[in-house]
Amino acid sequence: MFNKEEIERYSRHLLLPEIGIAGQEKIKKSKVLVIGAGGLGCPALQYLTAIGIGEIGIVDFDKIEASNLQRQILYTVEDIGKLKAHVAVEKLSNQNPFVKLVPLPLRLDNKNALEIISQYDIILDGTDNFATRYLVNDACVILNKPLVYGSIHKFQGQVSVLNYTDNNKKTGPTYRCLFPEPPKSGSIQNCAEAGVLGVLPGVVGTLQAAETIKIITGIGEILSRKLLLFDALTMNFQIIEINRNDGWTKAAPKNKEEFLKMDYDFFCGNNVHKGSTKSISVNELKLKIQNKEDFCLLDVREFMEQPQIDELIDLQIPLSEVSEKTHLISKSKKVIVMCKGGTRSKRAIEILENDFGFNNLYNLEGGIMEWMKLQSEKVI
Amino acid sequence: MNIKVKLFGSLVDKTGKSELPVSGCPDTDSLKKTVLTQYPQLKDCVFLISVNKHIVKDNHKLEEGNDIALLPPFAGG
Repeated sequence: MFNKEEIERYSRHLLLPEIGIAGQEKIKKSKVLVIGAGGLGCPALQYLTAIGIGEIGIVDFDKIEASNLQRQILYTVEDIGKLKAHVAVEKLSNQNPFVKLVPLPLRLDNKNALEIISQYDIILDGTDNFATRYLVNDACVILNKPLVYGSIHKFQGQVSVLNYTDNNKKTGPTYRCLFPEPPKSGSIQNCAEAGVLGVLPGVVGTLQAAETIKIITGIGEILSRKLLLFDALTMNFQIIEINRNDGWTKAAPKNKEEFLKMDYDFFCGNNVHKGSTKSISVNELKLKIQNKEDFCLLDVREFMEQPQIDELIDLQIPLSEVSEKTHLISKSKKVIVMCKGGTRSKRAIEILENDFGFNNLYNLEGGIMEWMKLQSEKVI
Repeated sequence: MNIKVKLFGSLVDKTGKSELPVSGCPDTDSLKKTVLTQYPQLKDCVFLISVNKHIVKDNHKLEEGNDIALLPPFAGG
């Protein structure tokens, strides 16, 4: 089944009695879907490609940004602005031409998730938000696929193999057995908001790749019914035992029909006030600036976030501090609230309207990214 | 009875502490109540409670020397 070049390439695996030809054949026959080609996805993809997985699907709708390069080591300066899924496939094909790599530059949602996930044997979760994480978990449960879960926060990581059915046909816990309810929207920061140690996702994503290989080859003990916690500051690894909790998974969609009806953004509180937030487009903002209209701009990104645009700076209060600094925000003038992409600013408006009675706030649709796009169009 | 509670992830950000000394809590329900009274900023937080490296869902009796951790979900990837 392997040609001479493959035998040479995989020789160090073939030498291991636990893997050998039979194990390497299982690896070649397997199909793995990596969701998110970011911090966790990059190292996982690089190892899974190197060891010769038969087919790897790469889901990511995002483009490479300069701030990714500190930890997403698959990408280089020339790749900035390109789609992650395409660049990843290009780089990985050079790394191992024997692997079939499928770019899926799309946003996973409940309309396309089952179709995509059903085509793979193992799903590796490298997502950076709760809505997608619950969506992927629920799809894996409906399709009975093992989910190699990883997530990170600043210096710490979590890893587990979820929804894994062992040799005795017993299925382990799912993400909903860990966290039946998502955290309140905005209560937990992602890497763009909180920052993250460059090597942290390298460690966690590589652990996910290791679990994936173990599931395929059937060697060792799978990290099912266990949650691994890693802390880079103390170099402490610990394993916490977790149980499947069928009662807690009751709220999950049970079949395709129920899955299609789920609104994961709503479930995770991302758009609870859908449509009620007033908003303005970047074009409208441009006009207001040109006409020197009297309004205030509120940037709710973190202080170090780039780009900082002089034209757009009036007041900066990170989302996490908005509730404590409402006295700085005008209640009389029109206030245009913005962030990188328009999600955090929307959340800030919800907090300010619901808890502090503001009614003069407008969300900048698409945020700074949309503004940058408008500026670059103008240059062209 | 004195117990040390280890905090993880966003709970460290919100309290500025990675470990909390807690006393006079006979079980996990009262522990949770005490922690939330001391740190009301955690009241909206979702977290798991682990006792001696096992996640406990229902109220669980605590003993001196128990290894306790509060584990929130992480968002990043």
